[in-house]
Amino acid sequence: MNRVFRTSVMVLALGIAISSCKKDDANPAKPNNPGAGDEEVITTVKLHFTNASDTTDHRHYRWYDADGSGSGNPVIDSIVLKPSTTYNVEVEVLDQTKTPAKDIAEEIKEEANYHRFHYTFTPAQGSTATSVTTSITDLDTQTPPQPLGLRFSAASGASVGNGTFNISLRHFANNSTKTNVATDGESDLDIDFRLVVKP
Amino acid sequence: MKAVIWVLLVLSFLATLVAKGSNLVPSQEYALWTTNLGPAHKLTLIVQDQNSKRIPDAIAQASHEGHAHVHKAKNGVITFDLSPDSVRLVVQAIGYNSYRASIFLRRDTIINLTLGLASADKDEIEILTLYQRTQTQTTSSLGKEDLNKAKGQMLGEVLGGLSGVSMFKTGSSIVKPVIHGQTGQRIIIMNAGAKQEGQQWGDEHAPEIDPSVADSLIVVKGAAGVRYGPDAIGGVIVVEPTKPMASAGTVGEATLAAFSNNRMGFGNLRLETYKRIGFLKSGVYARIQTSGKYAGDGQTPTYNLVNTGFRERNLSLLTGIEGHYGHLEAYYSLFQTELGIFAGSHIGNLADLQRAIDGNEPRVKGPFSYEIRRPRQAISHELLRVKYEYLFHDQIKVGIIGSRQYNTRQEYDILRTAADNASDRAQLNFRLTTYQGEVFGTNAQVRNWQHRVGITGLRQSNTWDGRYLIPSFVATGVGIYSTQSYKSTIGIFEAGLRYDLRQMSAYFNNGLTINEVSRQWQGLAANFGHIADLGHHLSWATNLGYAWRPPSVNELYSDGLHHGAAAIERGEANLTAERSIKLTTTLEANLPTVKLVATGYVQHFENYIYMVPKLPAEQSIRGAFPVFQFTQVPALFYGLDLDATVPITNRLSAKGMATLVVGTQTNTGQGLLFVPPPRLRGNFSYQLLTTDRYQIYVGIGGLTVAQQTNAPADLDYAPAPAGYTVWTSEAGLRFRTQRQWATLHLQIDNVLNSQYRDYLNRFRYYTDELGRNVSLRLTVPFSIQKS
Repeated sequence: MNRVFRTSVMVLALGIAISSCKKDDANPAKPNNPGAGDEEVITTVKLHFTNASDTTDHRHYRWYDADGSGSGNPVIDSIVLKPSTTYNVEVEVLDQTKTPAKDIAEEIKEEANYHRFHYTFTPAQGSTATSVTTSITDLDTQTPPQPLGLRFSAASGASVGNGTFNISLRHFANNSTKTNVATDGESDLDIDFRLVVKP
Repeated sequence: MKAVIWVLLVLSFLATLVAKGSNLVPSQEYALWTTNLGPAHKLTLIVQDQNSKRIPDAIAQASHEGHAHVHKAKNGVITFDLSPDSVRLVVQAIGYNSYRASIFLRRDTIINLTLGLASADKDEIEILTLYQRTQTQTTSSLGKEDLNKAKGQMLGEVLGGLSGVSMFKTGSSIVKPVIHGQTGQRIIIMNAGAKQEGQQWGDEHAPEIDPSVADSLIVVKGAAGVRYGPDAIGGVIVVEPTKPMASAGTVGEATLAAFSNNRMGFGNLRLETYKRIGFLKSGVYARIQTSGKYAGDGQTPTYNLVNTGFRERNLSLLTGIEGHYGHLEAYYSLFQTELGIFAGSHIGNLADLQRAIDGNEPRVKGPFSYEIRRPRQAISHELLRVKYEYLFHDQIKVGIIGSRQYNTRQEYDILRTAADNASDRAQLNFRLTTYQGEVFGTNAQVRNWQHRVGITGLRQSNTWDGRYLIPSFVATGVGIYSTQSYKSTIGIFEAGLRYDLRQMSAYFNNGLTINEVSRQWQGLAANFGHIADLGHHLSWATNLGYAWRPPSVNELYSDGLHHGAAAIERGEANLTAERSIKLTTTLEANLPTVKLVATGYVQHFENYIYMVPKLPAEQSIRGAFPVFQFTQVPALFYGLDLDATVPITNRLSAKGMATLVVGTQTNTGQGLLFVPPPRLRGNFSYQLLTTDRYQIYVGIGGLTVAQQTNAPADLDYAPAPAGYTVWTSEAGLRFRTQRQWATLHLQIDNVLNSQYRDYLNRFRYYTDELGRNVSLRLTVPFSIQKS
């Protein structure tokens, strides 16, 4: 009995040792493209402004960082709005490191209950009278529904001038509750555009 | 600096030349090695003074791999029953100089030894030395008893109790050991004779080793680059699996433990068997050991740390055959862990980080759970090591060691898509395969000389997918070393020299082409040491070590966002090798009233690789992130370790420990980041009951850690936290089962449930340390069959 036990311990030891050795099948000399495997990259935010009282007045602006979190600098358009005008805005979010570009806005929409955009205009010094008020126009699927922010309206005031237009996207873990507080949750987007109000 | 290196070089070469001139043929009385194998051997020591009179009250300690037996003389004769092994001997008697030696015990052996009078002139002391492995390097070790009390803890935590060793933590579930202020890439872990190769460059990558495989852990606190190769700049941790038993039969040991704080359960089982095969004149042995952990969220005194549970599974197998043709042994170990990272530590951008630091409590809260969500890590580490040793003419031992390691690491970030399980894919994936080999030769000490030479080789390849952090690479290395030691009347001298060549090819894909970037480094390591017996139970050891390391892959090429630190880390592809010289000196007093070990050290780095912030913060689409760039600065570390043990009465003993380390960037005079603050530890132990069947003891201890006042405030997100004191108490019961001692051990950590933060914890920005933790361990040895 003991001999059987002992032999089996030894055979088992050897057997497991040999059989369990795992192997790396990838070739280090053929590495991946850094962008390809990262699902979390956002390179591009496009804002499509449509004048609410003149649908032929269409303008779009882009915030673009080709390498996501890499060391390259972003290319940022300046937003130009007419005074005393309301625009309906659609937000496009893309990952252009992938081919074809990945539609991140689609993902955000699917996970609407865990995302919330915030839009803030801060007038520059000397333009303190300039204002842009925003209001989110789309909702998520909670009861009661909460604002999401892939669509919003932006209304400029009468005073011309310029300032900074900040867009932030907060996301919430699925075991926490979405709030409308701009500092809750975690940052997915936090970008600044220069915004000019002129006729 | 260069002059010192040249002196060391010349000394080492001289030593080699002298060694060649000496006669390698031994005289009969030195020949203690035999290939005769058997179960336990009887070692008899006859201890006498210079007049050949037996010394009645001598005490001897025989230890192998941390397992120590202490026996008292009867009429000057001390006997041990020991397994065939290399045994370190220390023989002491009051009024005499102590005797130290190492022997290879291969048959029943009788040694006549003479102890010199402590007051006598050094020249008259005759010490019989058979095989002496000198240790001029300062070491601290944990034996079986200490490790039994620490079963269930992580390797870094177990070592954290030693003087000169601190813990660098990421939350409560990731612990990296720090030796004399150095961690990560600057210390190496020797796991069963192979250098542990995981993704150890990462701050939040804990060593992938189960301490349950070992019954001793040794920490070498010097620059040990000669013996262990590049990277051993700050020190070495030696994890040697428990030696196989050497008497026929089948035995085992089972441990069960429970911990209150994270409601962790732990179990460890070891089974081993030994058999003599008569016709082969061989002994064959095998062992299986397995352990597991299952832990939930850790608790601070006031809140739950969401998502800090972990699971761990380990398996180790050992099998070998030993006979006149040599000793062949195979060892396999598998370490697998899955661990949650505290949910509040995943940071969106710099503004989020500031909010997390400013908040008194973490922004993510929740009830206790065993569940592990994102962010989490899944790690697997596999080691296969084969060793063969052969003794020529009982005098020269030649060995060959080969090993393969395969490490996989997967990190799962919190995703923008909020549903945790929407994707099972890991965002960071690394696969690291490492082959190592070593051929060495060593001799029995002949005419006071002992030598060791060796050649080592390494090949490593790393691949990744997911998010880019470090590139794919193939690294190769070769090394050659030689060490000599010489025993003279004024002590033991040792010298060593090593040359290494390292090459690394990293591969980058820019979407169109693949670029290969190759770098090569070479370096010398040197070591010179002396240990003197000063008499009066005093010994004094000094070691000067020069070591180097090539920059690691992340220091060269990392380029990416660390969510845990909310920082972008950038490598510097033109870093040169880091070189360092360290002087260590240790005074050891072994008096009946006190055992004292004091170690002082100074370590200088020519080009310390260090991460510094680079302004301005970088604008990314998620917001602003601070950028940290690897660079090289001159640095100086110095410090002091103190260990004292005082037997107050027969039953009561006290232990004290102090650790002090200072690290400075010498060109600016500024302190370095993450240098351990001063620590002071003390404990009392009282034997309540000692009988043949039961032993009961109780103990109480405290640890005081001061505030780190030398930290550079402008390089850190938050100032160093205040100092703290935490208390521990324990009670132990040892009882006999089947003629072996079983132990039941109860321990309470952080007895007062104190709220504090530790400077060396990367999550000190967000959370307090763990609160009270009550743990209970039961260890039962058993024999299934004994012949």
